[in-house]
Amino acid sequence: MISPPRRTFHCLQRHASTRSGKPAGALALALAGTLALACDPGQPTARPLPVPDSVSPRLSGAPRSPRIASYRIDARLDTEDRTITARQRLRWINRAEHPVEMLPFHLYMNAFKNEQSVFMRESRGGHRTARRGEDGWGWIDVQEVSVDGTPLRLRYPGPDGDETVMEAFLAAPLEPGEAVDVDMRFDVQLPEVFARTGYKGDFFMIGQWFPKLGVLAGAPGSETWHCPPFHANSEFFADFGTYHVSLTVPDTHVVAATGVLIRAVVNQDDTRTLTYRAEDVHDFAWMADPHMKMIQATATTELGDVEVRVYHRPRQEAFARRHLRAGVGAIEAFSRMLVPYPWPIMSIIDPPPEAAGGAGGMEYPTLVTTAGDSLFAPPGIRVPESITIHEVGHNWFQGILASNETEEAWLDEGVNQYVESLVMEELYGAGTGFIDWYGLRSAPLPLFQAGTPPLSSLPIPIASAPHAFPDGGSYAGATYGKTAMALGTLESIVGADALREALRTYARRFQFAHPTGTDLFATLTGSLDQDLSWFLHPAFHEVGAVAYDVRSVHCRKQHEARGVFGRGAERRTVSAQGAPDTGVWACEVLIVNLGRVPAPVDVHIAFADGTTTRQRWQAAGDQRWQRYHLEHTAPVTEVIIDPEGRVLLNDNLGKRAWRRDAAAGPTRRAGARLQHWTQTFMQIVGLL
Amino acid sequence: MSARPGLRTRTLLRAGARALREHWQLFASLYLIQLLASAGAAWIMARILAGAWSHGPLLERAQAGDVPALVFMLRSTPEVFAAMFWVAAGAIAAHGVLSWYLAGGLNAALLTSHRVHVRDRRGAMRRFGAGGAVTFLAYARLALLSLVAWLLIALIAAGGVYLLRARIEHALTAGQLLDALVPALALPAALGWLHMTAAAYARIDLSRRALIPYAPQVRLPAARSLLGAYRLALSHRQPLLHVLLYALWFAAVSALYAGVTVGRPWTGAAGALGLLVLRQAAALLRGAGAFILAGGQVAFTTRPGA
Repeated sequence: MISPPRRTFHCLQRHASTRSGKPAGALALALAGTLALACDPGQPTARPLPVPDSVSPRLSGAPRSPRIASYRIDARLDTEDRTITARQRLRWINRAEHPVEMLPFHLYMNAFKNEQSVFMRESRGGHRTARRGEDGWGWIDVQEVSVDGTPLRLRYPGPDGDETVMEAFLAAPLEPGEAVDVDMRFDVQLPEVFARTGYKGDFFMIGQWFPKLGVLAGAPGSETWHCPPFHANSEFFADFGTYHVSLTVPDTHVVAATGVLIRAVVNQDDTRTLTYRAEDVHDFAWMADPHMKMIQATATTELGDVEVRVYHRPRQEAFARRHLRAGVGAIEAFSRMLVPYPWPIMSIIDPPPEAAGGAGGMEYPTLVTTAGDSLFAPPGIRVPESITIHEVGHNWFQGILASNETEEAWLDEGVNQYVESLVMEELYGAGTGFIDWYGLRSAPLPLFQAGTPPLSSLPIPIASAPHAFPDGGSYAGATYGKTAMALGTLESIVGADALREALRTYARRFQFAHPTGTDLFATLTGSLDQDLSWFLHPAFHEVGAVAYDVRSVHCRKQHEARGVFGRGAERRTVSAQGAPDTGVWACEVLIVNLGRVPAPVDVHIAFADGTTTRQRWQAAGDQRWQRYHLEHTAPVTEVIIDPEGRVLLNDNLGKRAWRRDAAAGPTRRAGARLQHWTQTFMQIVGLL
Repeated sequence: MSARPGLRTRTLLRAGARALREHWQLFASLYLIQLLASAGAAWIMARILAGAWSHGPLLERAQAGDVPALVFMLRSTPEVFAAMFWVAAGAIAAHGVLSWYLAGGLNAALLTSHRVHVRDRRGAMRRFGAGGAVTFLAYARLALLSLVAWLLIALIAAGGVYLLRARIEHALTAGQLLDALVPALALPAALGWLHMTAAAYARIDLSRRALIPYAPQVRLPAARSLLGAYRLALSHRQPLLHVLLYALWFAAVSALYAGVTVGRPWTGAAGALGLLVLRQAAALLRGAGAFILAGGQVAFTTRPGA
């Protein structure tokens, strides 16, 4: 167990006295305090040696994955130079139906080596809210690659000087079913963190740090390697296996890593070596920091108890408790909704604020980084919770259901975003899952819908490769938001319970495999027992969204037909007197969908006598408009398409309602509120 | 400006309360002016808002606390909200300028209230009107000098914030932010408090000079009055304490109003009426506090025995 460190503070605060009674003295003290309070937390001191975890690397049962790529790594972190020196042995099994002569490796860290890398060219040195530090370059240098002591020929095929892919050519082809042990030595210079991995001050978040083999996948007999250069908008794809990783770090540092701690050894040189083991995972990441504390709680799943740990700096303790509650809730909810979490530990890293933009909000097997700690996220504004739940959820969407993030990022990001919204609503209340603060409330996805640019403005479909998106905004909009809202809209079509059951079927069928979008759609169609291509294709494979509009509403009092009737001598004229108005109103309501995606929807119609009716517009296929003919004792006064706001793909929120008369009540309320605030500021600014 | 040693703060408060009792109709008039000005601006803002959003359900949903509705309205019609902002800003600025006249009139009425019977309303109104007019330009010059003072205070505040920018930027809770902001802003806050006090006493001094019978027709000395008022405020703690009490009163009334109203639905006609009563009560209490403050300040400068 880890206990808080002994900490020596050198702040002048302890020496500042507040006992002076004179105003001038008090002011001088305030000035001294101003300078003094920017204080240094002091030098780290040695932390107690952590006790190995007394649990197996997996919760129960036989191995769950085809353990194709297993790694054994010995690494040493130099916190002064911010470097890692390491040796690695990869055992890879050829599961293809043809021999393999070449093994491609991702060298992700070379994305930060120079401005020639594909990543730097596409990102222009920025990632989400963080920017590359001026001198914070990073790289990985593979010194030696060998099999049975024989060095392999290496090639760097990346375009235009990009070095994020290395090909190693085997001395002899590896036949189907055979295994090979590839040994490597490599050095890593960690970058200043701005894109998931690196350091910031004393904080180290180390991900994508070792030479990672690509994935050989495809139709049996024609499998090909998936090992593209590292693009700015894409993430990762690897095979399942086991990881046995020994990390040598200074004895002042707290470490959290993928898997369970199986051994901890003190070394002579004020370092310690911590050995972690993880099974049925496809990545390994770790954190080291001398100032971290840790709090923990237990989540209960069908397979057993999961220890959830949150690592945080002392001043983030209030947020750590929120992340812990969210993490426990997420593991239990995702386990119930999909498949049980199969590992005994989940580590949640809450980076220090100065590193959160670069290192926060990322997922690795059994370890995630969160973010969102902010003055503007008090309890009730659940940005921190949503990030934690989202990242923990990735342990299903992409951790267990290991889709190819380099080709179908939406399949993990967007699907996870949708399920995250369900979990938020379950944990924090329907309609208040994201915001519940002094009378303000919001669920997660409706806020997405309202707050992001129109979905019809996204230039390419959801189901596009990440690197095909022209910019980060369109990538995020389509991959996260539009995907989640498409699934939310599908929920309104097929029903919430049916969709959840379909997703559970998908999770069970493809756990510890590499599902594709085709697999998801086929599972949905099969599980829901209906052809959904009329919705799924335009929603996921075409540009555009839904755009409801109340086109027109006309009402007139019914009467017998007026006009001239008959011919010749029998011609007669029927006037208003002859065909008086009856007490019945005849109304026509025309609604349209100007978007590319069809979606059935409810239509609420209200009449002047206070009665209402609800219609269902099926809107399938090419049907783009619907006209309702209504006969009633009062005219129509209000039409609202999708009154509950369940068709989340609708772009036209402002046009989906029509009122005959402007509502006076809301205007009066607004006016009264505005009067109060104006008067308050008059009293502040004016002399009276 | 002469000092009045031995005058206690509670004496100032009693004097202010007495001024409010004796001049309640003047207070009511000032309050009504403010109410009408703010209501007029609000009516314009409400018409702008209604023109864009009253034909759909989003406006009432936003007012009921639905954040997506509010966000959508802000995002899709930013020009509507910009127009509302400028209407409010203009009204607040116009009332600020008008308050130079109103404050001048109030000071004149309070300064001369001992000369006439308290029931002489017409006399009070004449003194108010004439007093406000004669000191308007002097108060305007004083406001320009105040602007310079506030700019200097803002510069000092910016410097303090800059020194502690790392702590402020990474503050995660209100407590951590206060820990960073208090030392950063303590000095400028103190200077602002000092200036507010001095400016108030400078205005009273200008009004007093304007009331000197048969005085030469010279420009009222805004700068000299302000300097004298600074000397007064630095040499006596009662004026500073008096202003601090008013500021605390203002904050307490506002906090109480927020505590009672925020987070509750206030639906229907009863809710609307209840909100109206609470809002006007808060405004009245704050306004009364300002009136009592002025009364006490006049008492400090005019107490017999000087």
